[in-house]
Amino acid sequence: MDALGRDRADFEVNPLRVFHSIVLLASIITIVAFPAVTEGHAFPVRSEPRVGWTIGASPQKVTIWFDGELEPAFSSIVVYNSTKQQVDKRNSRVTGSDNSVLEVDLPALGTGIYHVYWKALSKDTHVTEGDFTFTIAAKGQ
Amino acid sequence: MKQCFLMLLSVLFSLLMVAANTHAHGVIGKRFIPSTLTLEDPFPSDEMDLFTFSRAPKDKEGRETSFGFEFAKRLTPDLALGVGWEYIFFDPREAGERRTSGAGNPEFSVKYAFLRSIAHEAILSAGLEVEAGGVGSKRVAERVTTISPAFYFGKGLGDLPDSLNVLKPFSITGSFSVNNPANRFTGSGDDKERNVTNLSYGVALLYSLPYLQSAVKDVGLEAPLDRMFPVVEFNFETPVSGPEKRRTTAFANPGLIWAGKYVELGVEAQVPMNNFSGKNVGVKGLIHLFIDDIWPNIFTWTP
Repeated sequence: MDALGRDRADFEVNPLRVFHSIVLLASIITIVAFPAVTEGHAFPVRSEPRVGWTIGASPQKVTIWFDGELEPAFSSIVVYNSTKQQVDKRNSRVTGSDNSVLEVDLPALGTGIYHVYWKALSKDTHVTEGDFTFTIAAKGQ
Repeated sequence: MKQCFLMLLSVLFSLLMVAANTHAHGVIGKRFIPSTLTLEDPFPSDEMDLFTFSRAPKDKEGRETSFGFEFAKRLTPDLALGVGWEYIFFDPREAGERRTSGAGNPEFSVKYAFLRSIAHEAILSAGLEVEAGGVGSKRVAERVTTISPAFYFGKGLGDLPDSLNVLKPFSITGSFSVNNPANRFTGSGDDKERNVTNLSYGVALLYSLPYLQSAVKDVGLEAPLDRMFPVVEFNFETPVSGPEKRRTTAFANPGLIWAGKYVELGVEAQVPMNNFSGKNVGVKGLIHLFIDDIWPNIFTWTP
């Protein structure tokens, strides 16, 4: 019984209406919250050479596009050959109009498997890291 | 006493206000593991389940539908506190009994990650969950407080040999908890109820399409598939005392999770795996916010 003498046990709420109300409320909160969005974790979107692909000629550089702005001083790429020797030109840099592209130049490389290691610090100090390989094969292989 | 309390609060607040340069939600090495819908994940995180929805299979007592909310905040990179709450609707199985609804009990949790291996994409955590009995509506909530020490783990398969590349995007998470009622009996007379100890445990198997794309082989997936995680969770509950001792309820929960930069969405079916678990299929949903990414200046505080 409540203060007005009604039996609250008989009070029924329609779950479907509550579901609609909560989804509406969640949507409003999400929409209102997002103009305040600044940065977040930076994860790779794509790369060139593409992850795990085999290509027919040495690329001039390795480029990784990220989904957020990077902090140049703490973001880098290193490329190793199959004997774990660093083969890039050690000039890893952040580029792009929104500082979301990480790249490093390469010399002319021979055939073989190459390992790319990257580390990215987003503007809000979240660190992400990863690695992948690409293969250079003689044409016709 | 009051001054001590205020001092403790101010110290806690000061700790929270200090920023740190660290990993956050669900990231271990190059692996991101999203929050799962059924089992608690092993990561202490700054995160918010803005909305959870569950319509459970019909069991011997009836069918429960619930809407919930959960919030967790790290105090250090490895320690987080959380609070959750649900509103529950209950449809009794017996004819003549009326549908009822009400607030569930609030649940409080603490989680500490005591081991992380970036090379092996592995994390081990321990935690304590407390459901504050008798706080919610008497119609739907338990009257007894439950204290549950818990253990959580997560492991990515990225350290498999290259010959097993196709398996590298898989990750496994799991949890094990002992749910102890604070009192053996609650109520009196006809209303007396025996409270039993339960074991809750389960594993989740996830396949990360983002991991496949960015670490194994770029297979050319476009949005929204490039941020998708097919998942299946298996969860079990076994009473270790009382008349239903060792009658394990078991569910398989296949589903899909999509994790964007700031929001995670998930949906799962809840399939009973034996007669004790119910008869038809239930459904679960989740809207989860990465609040440390949405409001980094507010929620990336840790000492």
